[in-house]
Amino acid sequence: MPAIILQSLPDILALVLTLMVFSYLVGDNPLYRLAVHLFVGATAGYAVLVAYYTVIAPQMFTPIADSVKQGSTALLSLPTLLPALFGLMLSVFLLLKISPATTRLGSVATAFLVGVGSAVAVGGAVTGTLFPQTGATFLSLLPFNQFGVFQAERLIDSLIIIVGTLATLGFFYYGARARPGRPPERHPLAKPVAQVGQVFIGAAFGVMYAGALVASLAFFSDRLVAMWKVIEVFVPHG
Amino acid sequence: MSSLGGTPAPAEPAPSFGAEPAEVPDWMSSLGGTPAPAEPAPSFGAPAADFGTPDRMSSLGDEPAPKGTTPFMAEPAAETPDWLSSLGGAPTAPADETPAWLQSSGVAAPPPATPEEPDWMRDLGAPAAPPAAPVFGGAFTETPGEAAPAEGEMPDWLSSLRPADINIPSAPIAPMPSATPSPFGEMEPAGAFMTEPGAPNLGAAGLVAAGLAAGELPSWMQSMRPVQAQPSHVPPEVDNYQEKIGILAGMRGVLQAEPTIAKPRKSDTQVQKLLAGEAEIAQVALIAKILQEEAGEARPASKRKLQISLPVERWIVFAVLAIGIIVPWFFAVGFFPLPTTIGREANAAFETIESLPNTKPALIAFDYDPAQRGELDSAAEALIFHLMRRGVTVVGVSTRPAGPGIAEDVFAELTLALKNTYGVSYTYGTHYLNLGYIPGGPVGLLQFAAQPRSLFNRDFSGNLEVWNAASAPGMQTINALGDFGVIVLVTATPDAARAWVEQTQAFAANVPMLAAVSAGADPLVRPYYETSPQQIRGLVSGLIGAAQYEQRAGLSGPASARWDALGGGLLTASLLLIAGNLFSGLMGFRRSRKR
Repeated sequence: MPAIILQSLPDILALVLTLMVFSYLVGDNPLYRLAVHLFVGATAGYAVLVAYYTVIAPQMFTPIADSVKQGSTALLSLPTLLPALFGLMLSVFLLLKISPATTRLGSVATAFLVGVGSAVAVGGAVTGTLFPQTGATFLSLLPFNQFGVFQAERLIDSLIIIVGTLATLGFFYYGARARPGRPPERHPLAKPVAQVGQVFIGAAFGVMYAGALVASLAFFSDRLVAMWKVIEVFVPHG
Repeated sequence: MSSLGGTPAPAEPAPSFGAEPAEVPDWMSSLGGTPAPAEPAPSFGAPAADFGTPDRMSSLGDEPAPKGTTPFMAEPAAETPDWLSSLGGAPTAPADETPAWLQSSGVAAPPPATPEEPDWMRDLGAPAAPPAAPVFGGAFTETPGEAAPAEGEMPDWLSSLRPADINIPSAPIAPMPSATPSPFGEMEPAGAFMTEPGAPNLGAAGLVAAGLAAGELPSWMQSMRPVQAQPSHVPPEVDNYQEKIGILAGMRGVLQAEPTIAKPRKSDTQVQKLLAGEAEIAQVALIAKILQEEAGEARPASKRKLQISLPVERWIVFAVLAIGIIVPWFFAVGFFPLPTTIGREANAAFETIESLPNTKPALIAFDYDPAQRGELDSAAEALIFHLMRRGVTVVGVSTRPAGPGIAEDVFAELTLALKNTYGVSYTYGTHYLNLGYIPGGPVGLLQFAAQPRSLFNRDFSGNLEVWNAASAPGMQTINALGDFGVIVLVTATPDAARAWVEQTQAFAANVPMLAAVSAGADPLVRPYYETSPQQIRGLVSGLIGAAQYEQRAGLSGPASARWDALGGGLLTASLLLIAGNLFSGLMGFRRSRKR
């Protein structure tokens, strides 16, 4: 029996933690909070260790330490050393943000991070999403395929994509006329377009909700099955 | 001033500016009809000891005037300068020389003066004169035991302000004789001063009638002229206040001291009325309603209230879902048959892997956390097991700190299953490798896509040199991202999928990308699959997509094993949604019928 317990100890621990999370069914209680704090603390500690052992140490400390050991020959490893020194400098600047007196010096590193991150994100979004997705809506409304065969579903598919894209974009046009004594209203031409777009947006949200529900049920079934398997070890059934 | 030593200050006759009767103008003579009583002059510094003069003040008169005192203080009365004598206040005229206007006023002439002292000082010492009261500083009259003056001593005009039936309470402050009625009380209105004496007050109409032509106003002045000014609707303020204490007790129309001193407030009279239309009134009512609701929601909960509640509805839903999942999985195996068809996106992923050459390694991105393992492990294991079965080298990376740990678990489990099922041994470093964590989000991803070798020197465990042919021969063909045979992205969020698509496709245009995503992220990742040309070559969505893929690949994985549980949960959830909507609709219908 002790061997079984030792072998199943991780599963037992998972069972106990799962039950502690399920205790939220009776409201916020210390067991639930303990489990949540354990998860948050373990995740944060694990992330710090991963960042140190896979990023900070091998990419910053190790090159600098190796260069120090090499002495004058460290000049030969400048391509490796310079990025490490640059990273160390930015790290020191970031640490200066701890104190209010030196927080302005830390803005240099923050500005560098934000600037580079924004440039990369915007450039990738334009070339990787905006242009390809816009080009994907340039569809032919002719109901024929490349062999000249009539295909009604091709026309319907293209119509849904084009109308849905334009109507959804039209919904986010917020221009409105202000009339005295009345609430602002959309332009008479934009109003029906926005209503059609609202239907498409509602359908998209419905699909997302259904997907989230299926995902949640998958998590729930995984936990219930895992718990049952642990119980099965100690309560064998016929 | 020498009388500071204790002589009671007698009533000093009113100073007669220009005492000559002949110099009195006519308009002033007309005022003589009203008998002007002798007004006590303000006796600066003359209050007697009876009025509360302190001893130190009384003793001042016994001491001689010090040197250096001003002549006005030190010179005797006989040496009064001419300019002071000409004021007429000091040498009082004898009785027979009393001017006619003064005699007509009924004021008794003062007795003749002795030669030793000035007349005006002798007048101060007249015993018959009533005690002078300063017109200011009523506190000086606060003599203990001094009775209030009789009603008859109050002037008629002041007595008329008090009702006859008023019962005057004993006031702590003794009233004093009122001041002399204003000599201007019966004068003409202020406008009369604008005209010459004796000139008739004609007014505008009278002026026109008198022959004065009306001038023509210029146009600019005409425009400034108020036309049909709207009469004010402000109701007149009615002062019903009646004093209750003090000398003014019982009088109406007196000014209250409290509003100025103790109770500053706004007038209750509504001066302006705000004009608002129906739309404005409706908006104000809406804002007031919202604020009221927010105030109700923001009410802090009582700390004494027990935190543990009994949400019965939550328990019912939990119990029904749990039963719906457990019962099919345990008691009704096969109640929900495994999928016999496969979606085209999952089939496209299968065909892509099936057609891969096993000479190029596959890059697996484990971009999800342990919390999503219940759903995504099934899809990841199906795809990776398919790759391993085909002998493709797999390399794991992750842009999330917890991702490499998940990769370790999945690789260990699959290599064991591969060995048990097919007898194939997958070796770490040769057939599979876990590179580890890519920091920096999209920036790190871009660096990895541009130069994979610059980001990693060792694997996730740190024990293996990645680019060493002896330790990791499977990685020797990799110099750029395009050297991978396929990129398999396993993620629970659409952001990670978008980052991979956006940052890596420029460096791996010819490398197919497959995605295994959570069912919740499917609607936002699917457009990359639907585009032409496709940015994602195949898509496996959630547990359902994983089960389809396993069926297509002929695998018996975790998705197929949990198919009954998932089917039971979906059926139960659908029934709960339908029942809940029906119940809510019926309750709404019932409420509307009640109204």
